[in-house]
Amino acid sequence: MNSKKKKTYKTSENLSGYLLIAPNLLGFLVFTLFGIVFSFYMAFTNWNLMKGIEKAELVGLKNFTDMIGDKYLRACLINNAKLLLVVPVTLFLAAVLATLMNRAIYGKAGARALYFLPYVTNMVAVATVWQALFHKQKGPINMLLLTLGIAEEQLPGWLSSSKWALLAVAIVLLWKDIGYDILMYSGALQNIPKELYEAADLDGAGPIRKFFSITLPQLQPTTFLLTILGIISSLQMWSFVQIITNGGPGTATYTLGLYIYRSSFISYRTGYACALAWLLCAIVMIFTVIRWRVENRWSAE
Amino acid sequence: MKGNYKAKTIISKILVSAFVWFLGIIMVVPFVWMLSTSFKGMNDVFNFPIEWIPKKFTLNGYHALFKGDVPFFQYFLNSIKVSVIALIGTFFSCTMAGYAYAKVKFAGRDKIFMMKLMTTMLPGMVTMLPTYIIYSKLGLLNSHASLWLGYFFGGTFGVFLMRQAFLSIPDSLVESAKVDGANNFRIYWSVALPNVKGSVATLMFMYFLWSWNDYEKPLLYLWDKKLFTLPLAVKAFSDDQMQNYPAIMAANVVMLLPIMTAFVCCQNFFVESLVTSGVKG
Repeated sequence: MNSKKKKTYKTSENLSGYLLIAPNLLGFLVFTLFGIVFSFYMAFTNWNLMKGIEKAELVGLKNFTDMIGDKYLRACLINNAKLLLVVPVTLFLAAVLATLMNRAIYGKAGARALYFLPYVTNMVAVATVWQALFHKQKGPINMLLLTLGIAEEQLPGWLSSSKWALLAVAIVLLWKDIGYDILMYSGALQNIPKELYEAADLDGAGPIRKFFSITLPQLQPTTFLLTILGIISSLQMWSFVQIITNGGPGTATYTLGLYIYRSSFISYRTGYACALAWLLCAIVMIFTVIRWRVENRWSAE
Repeated sequence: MKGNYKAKTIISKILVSAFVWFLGIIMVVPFVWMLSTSFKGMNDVFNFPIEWIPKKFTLNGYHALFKGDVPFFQYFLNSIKVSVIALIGTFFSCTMAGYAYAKVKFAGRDKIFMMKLMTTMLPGMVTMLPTYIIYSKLGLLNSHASLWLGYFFGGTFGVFLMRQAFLSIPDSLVESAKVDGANNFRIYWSVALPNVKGSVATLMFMYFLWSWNDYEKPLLYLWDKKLFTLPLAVKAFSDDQMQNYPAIMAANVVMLLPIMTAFVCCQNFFVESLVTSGVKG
């Protein structure tokens, strides 16, 4: 190729490359980059969605100092912290089930599909069905507990009781997400070298021992990825609680995401909502860094 | 000795299978309950022990779907319209960008991709309000365009999935087409795309799932009931119907039918491709 030809080749590569990514790049510039700048600026204003952007005034750090005494925010953060516990529980159960399914079992594909079904269902159907199942006086779950011999006055109130609502939400989330984690683990299990298990067999290790000393460590990269993704989606989950309890009873199932949504579109403290979104972002970053540190220490050993 | 070992493996296979299937059936009990309740009368919903096959079979729940001010099939049509347009947008934006990020050597490619990679951790809550404002300035609020427009910019999951797929095509295939004088668009369309059909099918299935199930965008952008897509419509319907569980479950069944059909039809294939691709949206 002579230099002129080379130059036209390069220009054409650039041109076609940028044309092909044009929609994607435009979306990135407008919605992501502009969005970040806009939301960051607005976090320092008293923007009210009803009054419009034009009326928004800079108020310095007021939105952030307001957070300190905000008892709703406090309730949200406590609930979010509790809901985070669902992530490791789901992952552990998923790893166990994926390991069991990875053995020769009857009807493997069918069984795997059963676990995945909740994941493809939408939140509205999930919420309305579980609302009925959790019904305090007549719901099938409490009826079952009753026949198992639990006294009527000790039956949990589930979604209608501030003591039980968060646990009910956690159960549904676990039920909904476990199928996806099982799928991801099933993929990862296929990459574990068989020799590791054969060597363990020679040492006379039982299945439980093999699970903890071979399977779990080998699944570590997948666990790492799934933990981070799980933390992110758990922390910003809002539409599901909006549907199933709308944050109630009281603030029993209020989450940070739901608070951001309600501040923006229901109580119109929109500037404050932007600040809260950045708080959420900071929390996600902190958890990611911590998880990263733990991961590095793990692999260093 | 050997026969003993064999019997042992078969017994353990039966036990493990039974356990996995037992839990799996518990996983789908809520769906079975939903389906059977949709055919029950209002007074039989909570009969205990649960009537899995209703003793008094009725279609009253389904009739209720057509009594409201907006008939249910309007919502169904809205959902289909939005999902179809969203899928067209997804197909072009994700495959084009995925191909370019994988196979076209344009200046700044890796920097741009790196920047996209860095912002994937950004919670959607941060961009929720800016996006709302952009749509409102463009006059898109309370229109179906607000629901499908975003898909034309290529979702992160889709672009990553397609980039990964195109990376697995050997460079020599692309190079030899170039030597034959084909430009990048030709290569993208008639050389690269036919080689990643499996990933394209996964892409389509996942985005069909997300657009059909989307509840958040309609909640934020729509207020005219006639424009609602199924999830928001079913939520509004269930708030109206209060304790009329057969009607609410009937609405759920109608809403889930397309998803379940698609899932059952291609679950084997698509579960396999998700297992091997290992990306999450």
